[in-house]
Amino acid sequence: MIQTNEIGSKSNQAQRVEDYFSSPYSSALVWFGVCTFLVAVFLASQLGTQAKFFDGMPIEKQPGLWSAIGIVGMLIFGFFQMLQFWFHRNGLQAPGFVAEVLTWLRAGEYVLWFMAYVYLVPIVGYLPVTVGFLMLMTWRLGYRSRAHFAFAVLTGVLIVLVFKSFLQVKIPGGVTYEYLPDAVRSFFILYL
Amino acid sequence: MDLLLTSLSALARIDVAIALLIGSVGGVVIGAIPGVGPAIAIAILLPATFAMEPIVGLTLLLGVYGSSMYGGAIPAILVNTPGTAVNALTTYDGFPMTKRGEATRALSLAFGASFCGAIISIIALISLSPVLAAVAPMFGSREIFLAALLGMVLVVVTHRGQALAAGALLCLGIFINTIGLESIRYTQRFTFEQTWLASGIDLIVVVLGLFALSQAFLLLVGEDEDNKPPALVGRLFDGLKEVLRMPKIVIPSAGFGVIMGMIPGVGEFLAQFFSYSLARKTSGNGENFGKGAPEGLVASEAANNAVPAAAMIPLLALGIPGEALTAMMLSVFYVHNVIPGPQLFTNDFDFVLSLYLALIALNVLAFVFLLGATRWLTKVVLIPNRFLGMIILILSFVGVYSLRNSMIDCAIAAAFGMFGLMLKRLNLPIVPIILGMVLGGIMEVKFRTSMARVENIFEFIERPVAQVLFGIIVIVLVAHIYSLFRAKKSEDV
Repeated sequence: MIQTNEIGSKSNQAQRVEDYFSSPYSSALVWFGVCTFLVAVFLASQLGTQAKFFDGMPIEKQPGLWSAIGIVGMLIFGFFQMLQFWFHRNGLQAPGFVAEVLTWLRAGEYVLWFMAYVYLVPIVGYLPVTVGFLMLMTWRLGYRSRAHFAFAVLTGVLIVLVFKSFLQVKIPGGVTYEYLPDAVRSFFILYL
Repeated sequence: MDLLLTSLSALARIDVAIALLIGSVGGVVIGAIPGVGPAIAIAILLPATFAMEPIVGLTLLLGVYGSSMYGGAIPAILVNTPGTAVNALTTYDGFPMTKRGEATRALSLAFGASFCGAIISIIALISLSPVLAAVAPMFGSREIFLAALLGMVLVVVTHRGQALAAGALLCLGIFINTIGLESIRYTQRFTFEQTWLASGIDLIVVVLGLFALSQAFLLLVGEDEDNKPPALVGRLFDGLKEVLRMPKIVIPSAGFGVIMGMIPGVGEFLAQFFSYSLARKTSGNGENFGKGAPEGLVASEAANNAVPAAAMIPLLALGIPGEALTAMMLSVFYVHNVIPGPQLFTNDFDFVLSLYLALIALNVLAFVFLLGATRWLTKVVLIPNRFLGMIILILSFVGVYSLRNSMIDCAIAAAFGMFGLMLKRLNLPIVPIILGMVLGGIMEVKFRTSMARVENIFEFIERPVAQVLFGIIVIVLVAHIYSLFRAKKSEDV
């Protein structure tokens, strides 16, 4: 049974505990199992050089002990997990590997949006970038009504007011704020 | 009495009261929005609480944690979409009741059951406090190590059907926690000579990536759902009276919540599943469960709301978080140099009592708020999913960037966000990674200090509490293996 009880999705009335924790067996899951196992193999191959083990030192003090425990655990669980995914591959219920990877790649676009936002905030300033980004993304996502844009602006202003002005989280003032008139510069740097 | 007054005076401060109000009201609103949930909200708020006093920061986070499940019942009942993951069982009977034209009654029952479950849980905890204060000092390094190990074992075996994936991800968490400069010989572990890895990978960066950014990506690549909640007619208070007439459902369900909350690594899912199954057998209305039985709704809501208070027990008494949300709260303690554990229970019990009283207050606030604001809250269900994803994306920045103004942290969080998206799409668990990071760190330190005091490995379990914990670990493992064999046998038949 495909589990669709995650938040934001319609419920499907799973009847057993297992149904909560079952995966939609797709070829993507098999590939995921293989890739994670290969990562574990790579990490295991690096154990000798990337973590230190000193001769004569008690085991509990060996710097590499817990890295080794993590990697060995990944190898053992990962190997059997890979086999489990492989033996269940005949019961495929979800879209295949290519469809799944395309979805992951579509999410990559939003990683770029996020990193561009991170890059621009310290340069342009938190308030203008937040409001600008929310408006641009609203447009990008296909919302065209004035209400959506107004809601985006309001949300942006509210986020900045709550986190920077009220909670005083550590977000630097934008470089462009330096060009503001003396009377408002400090206010912008500290609160917006 | 003096202790109670001291604890009450701590709560009577204006900053604590504001945190309590914002946390409980905010938690309800966050819970009511499908696709957000308390983990995301807490992850985003976490760095902001570091500048606050521990009691203020923890009250705010507790407010979000404890009240989000109240709000999560709203979309679960009205549009068949759980607001938080643990409201999944609420949809079984809540939505059929809505289809029958009983939406107001269903909501009112859910709020009443949640309130009763939470209050029973808090009363149980306050009653248990003397016992915990007596038992907590018996936990030395060895016992805490074994308790953390038990938490790891439980988090693996409770992911029925996914135990191997949970184990692999738990070990990944243990490994991630070791990256960077270690504190004994100051050698580098898996930094690949990259200076940005020398300080390790911050838990909060991972949490924000896996919970918040992954959810933002998931919503952004998905589609908007057409949710149209029905209009509510009638009074919301009546459900509490109806719930009070079901003690045989409410008390065992809350009991399950308390027990499951206290056991590290188990949590709300199993609490509500067991309580729902028990209620189906004992209510005399079992045939209507899943078709709109009020008893089913009450059982699931009473159980899941009893968990947050109980989940504070292993955190406060032993310094061991049982699930992702309490793992995040642990960092608030560490930032303020307040080390949760046996000493906290014996030396700073007024602080612990303040947290319990805060839990009572937040439940009252959430309940009262819902009585007045539910009709307004049904509107938040209308926010389009992708619009919500965009807001979570922007909010995640606050959480990650405000830690140390590092673009690298943001890139790491984005990478974990993509990894979290893959896990969510494939329905693989995320929580084991977080617990692996936190419990792995605790176990590394406790193993080192314990081994310095024992001659051989068998002395590790010579004390009574250690023996009990070791015995439980063995029983859990044997029971799990036995259940696997039985399942295999019945499949073959």
